[in-house]
Amino acid sequence: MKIKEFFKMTKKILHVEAPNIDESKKKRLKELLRKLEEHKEHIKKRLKDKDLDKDKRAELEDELEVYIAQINRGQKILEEKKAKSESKVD
Amino acid sequence: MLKKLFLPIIFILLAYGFWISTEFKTITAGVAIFLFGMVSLEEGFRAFSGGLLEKILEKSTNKLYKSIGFGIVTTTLMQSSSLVSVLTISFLGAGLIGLTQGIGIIFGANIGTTTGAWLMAGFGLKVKISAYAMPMLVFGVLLLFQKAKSLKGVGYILVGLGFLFLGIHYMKEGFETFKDSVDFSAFAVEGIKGVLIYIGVGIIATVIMQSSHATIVLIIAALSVGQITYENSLALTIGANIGTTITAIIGSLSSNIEGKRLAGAHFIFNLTTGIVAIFILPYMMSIVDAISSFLGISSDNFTLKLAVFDTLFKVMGVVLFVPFINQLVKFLESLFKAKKYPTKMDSEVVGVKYLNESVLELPETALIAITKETKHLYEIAFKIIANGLLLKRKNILSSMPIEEVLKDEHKLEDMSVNKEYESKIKEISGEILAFCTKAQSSMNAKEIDKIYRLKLANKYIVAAVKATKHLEKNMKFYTKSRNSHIKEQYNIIRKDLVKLLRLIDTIDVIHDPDKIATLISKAKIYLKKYDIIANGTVDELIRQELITNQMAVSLMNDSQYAYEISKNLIAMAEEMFMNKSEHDEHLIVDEEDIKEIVGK
Repeated sequence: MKIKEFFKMTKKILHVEAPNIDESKKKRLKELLRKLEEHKEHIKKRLKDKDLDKDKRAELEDELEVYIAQINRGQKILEEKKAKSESKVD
Repeated sequence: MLKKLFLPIIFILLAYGFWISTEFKTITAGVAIFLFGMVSLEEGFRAFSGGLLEKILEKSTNKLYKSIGFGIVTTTLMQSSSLVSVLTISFLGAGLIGLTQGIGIIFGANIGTTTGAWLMAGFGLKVKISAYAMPMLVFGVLLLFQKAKSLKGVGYILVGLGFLFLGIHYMKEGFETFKDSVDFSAFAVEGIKGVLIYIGVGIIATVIMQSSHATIVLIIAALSVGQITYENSLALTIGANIGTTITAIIGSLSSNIEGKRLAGAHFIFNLTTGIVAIFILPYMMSIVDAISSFLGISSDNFTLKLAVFDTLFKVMGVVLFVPFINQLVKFLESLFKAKKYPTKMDSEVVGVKYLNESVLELPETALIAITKETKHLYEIAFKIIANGLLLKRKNILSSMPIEEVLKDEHKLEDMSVNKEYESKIKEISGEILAFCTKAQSSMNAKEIDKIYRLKLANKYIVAAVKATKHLEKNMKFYTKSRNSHIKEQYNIIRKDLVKLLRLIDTIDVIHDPDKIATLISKAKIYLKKYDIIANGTVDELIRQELITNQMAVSLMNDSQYAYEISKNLIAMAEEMFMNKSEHDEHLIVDEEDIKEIVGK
């Protein structure tokens, strides 16, 4: 290997970007929120069923509340992260 | 008395030996350097034992042949069966493996030690081994000065190997020069008398050096220069294997029950194999000759033939014992009886199940043991809480409809929750806390954080049982009340707690942390939403004069206690089960989120 090629390769290796931990966390969170939204919509659909008995309805409503609360929590975390990264740029 | 005199006598004998012979000095220095190499090697592998070994162990010891394989591989890599024994005792103590698996590892470790003889006979004698030792020592020492634990570990391993090689070199050199002045082979004794004498010498040498590995390497070094005869070297090898059990037994005297059982297995295994080998020694020699010629080892290469004998001897032992391993386990369990931990609700004091000194050897194992012990504490708390609610634990854990769970009541003695709290919960949680303090001294920041969370989980379990104590009396009284309204309210309290206990039981078997987060959030929201003080149920009952003032006060207090039980159990679940997760962020709702939802 020529010296020039060696330096080129070393440079290339050294320039490999370190994985952005914060970005991967955000990605995971977004994926989680998407899944929770899916669950939420699924329950909403089931609640539209007029033949649903009282107990089952109450149970589904409780479940829906959990998903809504979790989605809210996730969005808050995402907003905090966004604000944090913006303040870093400032 | 003998114990006190042992060390001075050894010192005097060694000093005398050094004075009369420089060769003896070289050989003993070789042994000392070799032993120090083993200590360094052990230290190096310890650095890698946190986590990795446990993971391998979990997957590789579910079957006996895998346990034996694990013992062979780890001992071959570490060149130390004593470290493998320490690890096995630690794993046994933490409940990571059973005694059968533990014995399997020890059997495997026995076979693994034979690689030392192969290394010495096949490599150590043929090349100038000290040439390899020097660079290893230099690189190793450089790495020892590094801060990173893994680099330091590699440093210890290199230094360890370097000293092992250097030790072998000195032993070899010592015997080579010895040859010119003294001929030990003149002391060779033939026949059964010779076998017994040299077995005795092998035992004594191993007890002094505390390592059969070092004895066998020394035997090979002596054999290579013809200082001992091949026949006598075989007897010495048998002696070394018996001698090593004596050191294991001495070591296990201060050890826990698992250590004693393993040392017992080791002793029975080596002694029986040794006795069998004495009786069939001529036949074994013929088998060794046959195997050697099959492997292409020349008939006068006694050192390699000794390595073949050592391997045959140990493999024969394993083959002999494997069919009887269950009987051996039963025998050892009856010989060394463990303290019993009653699972029934009774007044006996329950001790800890997984915490013992041997577990402290490895931080990762200690962490597993503390997690298991916290779960054990929770199991006891579960039963106490269930009984405090006049319910049966088995019904709660079944798929029985809640209405039926409430009907099939548990008969409670007076103030039994308090008794159970004093004799079991306080006792075990106290021991867990003390153990955590000991364990965290050798832990890193991440592990200490996990310990902290487990301590919190313990605190919440204790608080939940404490709250049950206050609930007990009225629960008994009002669930039998003629007033259907107050009776119904107490049944609602019980129903909600049954739901929560079932939910926690579900969480325990789930591995997906996101699902766990959803279930914990569900429990948190439910707790706030159905709090009968906050949602006005109690006010309504008083306003409509459906319950007396006295009943109202009791209901208010007891609702608060039930709330405390639930809150603490949820907090316990959060600390305990979210600990499994590798991610640091989870969507578990907080007070503010709940307010937004419940307030709507």
